[in-house]
Amino acid sequence: MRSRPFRQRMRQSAALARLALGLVLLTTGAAFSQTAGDELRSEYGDLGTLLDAAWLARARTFEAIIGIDGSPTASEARERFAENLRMRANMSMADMMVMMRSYDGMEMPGSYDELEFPASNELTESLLSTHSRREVRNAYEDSSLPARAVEVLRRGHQFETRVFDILVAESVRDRPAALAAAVDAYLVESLSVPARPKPAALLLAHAHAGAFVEGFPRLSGIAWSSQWLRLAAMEAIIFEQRGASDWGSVATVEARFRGKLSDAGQNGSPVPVEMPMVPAIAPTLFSLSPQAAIILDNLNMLSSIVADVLAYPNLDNKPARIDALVAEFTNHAGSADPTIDYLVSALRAGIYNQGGPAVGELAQSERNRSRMEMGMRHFMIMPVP
Amino acid sequence: MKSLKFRNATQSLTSKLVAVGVIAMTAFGTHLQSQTQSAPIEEVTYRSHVASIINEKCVVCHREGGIAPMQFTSYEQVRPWAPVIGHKVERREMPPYAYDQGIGIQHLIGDWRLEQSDIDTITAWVGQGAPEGNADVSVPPAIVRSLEQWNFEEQLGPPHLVLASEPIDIPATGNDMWHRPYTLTGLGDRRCIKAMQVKPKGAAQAVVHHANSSVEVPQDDGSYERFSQLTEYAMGKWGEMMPDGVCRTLPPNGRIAWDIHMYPGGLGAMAPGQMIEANVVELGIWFYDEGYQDQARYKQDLKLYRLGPQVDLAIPPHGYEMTQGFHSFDHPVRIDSFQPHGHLRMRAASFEIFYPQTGRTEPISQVSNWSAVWHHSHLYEPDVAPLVPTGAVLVLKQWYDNTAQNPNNPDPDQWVMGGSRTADEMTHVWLAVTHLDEAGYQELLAEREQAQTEGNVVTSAR
Repeated sequence: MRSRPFRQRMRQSAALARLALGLVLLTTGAAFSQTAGDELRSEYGDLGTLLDAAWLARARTFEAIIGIDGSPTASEARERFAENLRMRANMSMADMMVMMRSYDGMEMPGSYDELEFPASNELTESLLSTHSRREVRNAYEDSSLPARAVEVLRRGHQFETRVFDILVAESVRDRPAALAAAVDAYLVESLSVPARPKPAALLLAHAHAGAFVEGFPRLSGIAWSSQWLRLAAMEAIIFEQRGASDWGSVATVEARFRGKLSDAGQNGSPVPVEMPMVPAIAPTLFSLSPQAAIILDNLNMLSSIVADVLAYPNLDNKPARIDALVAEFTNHAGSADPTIDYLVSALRAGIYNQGGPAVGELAQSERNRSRMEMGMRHFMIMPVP
Repeated sequence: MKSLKFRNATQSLTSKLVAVGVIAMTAFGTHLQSQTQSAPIEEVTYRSHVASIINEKCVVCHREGGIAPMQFTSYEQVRPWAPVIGHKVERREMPPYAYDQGIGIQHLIGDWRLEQSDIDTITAWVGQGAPEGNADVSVPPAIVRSLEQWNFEEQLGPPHLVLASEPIDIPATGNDMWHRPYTLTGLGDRRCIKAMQVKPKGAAQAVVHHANSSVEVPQDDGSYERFSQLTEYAMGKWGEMMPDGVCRTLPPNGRIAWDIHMYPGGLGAMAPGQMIEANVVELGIWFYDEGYQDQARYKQDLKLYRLGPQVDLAIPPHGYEMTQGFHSFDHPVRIDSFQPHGHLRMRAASFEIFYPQTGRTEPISQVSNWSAVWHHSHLYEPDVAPLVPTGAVLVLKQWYDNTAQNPNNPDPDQWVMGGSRTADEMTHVWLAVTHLDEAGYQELLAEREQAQTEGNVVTSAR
C-alpha cells in the first residue's frame, strides 16, 4: 500500500508537532468549559449522539481519503482521476457546462468507486452509532493531518459546541450577547479562524477545488450531510426555543439527516451538492450572530479545502500545503470579503443544493441557474414589472 | 402598474403605519444582533406585511423558471435571503430599475421602483429577524404569467399583429453576430400603433443583445424604401406604449427590416454553452381602432439621438469618458420616453432641457447607476411628459467608467472604442417624440395649468 509509508511519515511528524503544540497550548489554558456540550446533551440526547458521531466521522473521512488515495490497488483509477482533473482545468466554461448537463439527473460515478463504497458504508454505520465520550475526545488521536490543522479543527469544534450550549440553555436570557462573548473568547485563542468572511474564491477557485467532490462523491456527500446536520440543528433549536416548533423541530432535522444517509435524500431531503453554509441552512443563527456564523463557515471551508488537497491525486507535499492553508485561514489580518458578498456567495449555491432547509419545506431546488452560470454576463432578459 | 398601486393603497398604508415605528432600526447588519434585546415593537412579519410586496414586485422574476437566479415564492425560499433583500432594496438596487429618486420627472409608466414605505417595511422586517408571523394569516398567491406571455396582454389582450424574424441558428461558441432579415407586415391599411413589444422567443432570450426594427415601404420599381424606425429592443426592455391622441404610423404593404445583434454561446441563462436552433425574435403590435388614424392630431416617432459621433468615442484603459449631445426642433414637441443606450462601460446618463429664452436648464431624468443588463425605456406619464417649446435644447449626457471599479467591466486594461460589438461602446439615446404644432403646444400647456389650478396636478410620490 503506497499510503502506508506516507501515512507513517505524516503521523510521525504530526505526533511530534502535536506534542510541541500541546505544550504551548497547555500554558495558554482552554477557554471553554470542560462541560461544554452538556446543556445540549441534557436537552437533546439523540442530537448530541449524532453530533458526536459527526465529529468523529469528519476525522475518519480525512483518513479514508488518505487511505484510498494512497492505495496501490487504486493506481489506475488515480491516474484516470488525475487526467480528468487536468482536462477539466483546461475546459472552457461552456464546455464544462455542456459536460455537466450531460450528467443531468444521473449519478456521476466516483473515480474510486470500489474502494469508496465500503468506506462510505463504514462511515454511515459509524454516523448512526453511539460513541463513547472518550472516543469522541480522541477523534484525531491518530490523525494523519498536520498538528496545527487538527488543533484548529478541535478548537473550532469546541466553539461550535459552545454555540449549541448557548442556543439550548434556558438560563441564557440574551443569546446574541452570549454568542458575542463566545466569539470574543474564541478569537483570543491561538489558532482561531477570524470572524471576517474568508473570500469565497478560496473555496471555489483554489488550485485543487472540487477534487473531494469529484473523486469521492459518496464520502463528500456524507461529509456535507453531516455539516448540514450541525447547521440545521442549530436553526431548529432556535425555532424550538422560540416556541415555533410547529414549523420545524430538531426531531425533523434528525429524521432528514438519517434520510440523507439511508436513501440519499430520495424522500425530500436532498444530499448537499454544494457545501452547506450558515446563511442558507441556519439563517436565524446568522441573524443572531453574524460573527459566529462566519467563524463556523470559515472552519467548514477550511475542512472542505483540506479534503480537496487530500483528495487531489499525485500531489506532493500535502502536509505542507495543508499547513499553508491553515496559516491562511488563521490569519486574522488577511483579506476578507464584505459581509454582503459572503452572504450572496453562500446563498447563490442554493438552499436546496446545500441540503434543504432545516425548518419548513422545499420540495425542489429554488435555483433557476447554477452558480457557474451566475458568474456570466448577459444572462438578464426582461420580465414585466 | 398605477392601478396596482391604487389597489394596494390600503395595504401600503397599513405597512406604512407599521413601518413608522420601526424605521429607526433599518440599517443592515448592525441591528441584527440586537433584535432580541429591542424594546417591544409591533412585529413586521412575512405573512402580514412582506409577502404581498415580494409577490407583487419580486416574484415576477424570482419564480420557477424565471430570469432571476433564485425563487421567492415561499417563506422557506425568502427567509435566508432576507438580509440580502434588505440590503438591496434599501439601496434601491432591487427591483432593478435604475432611475434617480427626486431628480426630474418621477411619474413613469411601468416603473418598478418600490415605494419608500415598502422599503421601510422590508428593512424593518429584516431588522426583526425576518419572522414568518402567524401561520393562520394566509398569503395571497403571487399572480405570475407565463414567461411566453406578452407584457401588455393583461391590459390590451393578445397583439393584433405578431411578426417574426426569419429563424437562424446561433452556434454554441463564436463572436458577435448580426442578422438582418425582412418580414412582410401583410397590413392592408395605414394604422396607428398603440403598443409594441419585441420578444426574443424561448431560448433566443439568452442570446439576443438587441433587435432594432424599421419599416420599409414598396416603391413603384419594386424596391423598398425606409419609412421610419419602428422600435428598438435591448436586453431588459419592456415595450412601448403610445399615448392617446398621437399616431405612430405603420404604413400599408410594408416590410419590417430587422437588425438583430446576437452573442452566441455561453452567455445565455436558458441555453448556455449550447447551439440555439431556429432563433426567432417576435414583434407584437397592438393597434388603435380603425379610424383612429384620421382623428389622431399628432405624429409620434422613436428615433436615435446621438451624443456626438460614435466613431470618436475612445475610452482609455482605467480611464473615464463623458459624452454630450444637443438637439433642438423647429416646432414644439412632447418627449414621451427616454432610453439611454451604452454597453458594459457606461455607468450613468442624464437628460436635461435648456431654455435659451430664460437661460434655465431643467433636469428631466437622471440614471446614476446604469447597467447594460437592464435597458429600460422610461415612459413619462402623459400629463407630466416634458413639453418642449420651439428652439429649446435637449441636453443628453452619458458617462463611461473603464476602471476596475466598474463591476460590469470585463477588462479595464483595454482601450474601448465606439462600435457595435458588446465589447465596444455606444453613445446614443432613444427618444419617443410627439411632434406638436404651436396651437397644440399652447393647448397642452393650458390643460396643465388648468389642472394645477384645480389641484389635479400630479405631485411627486417619491
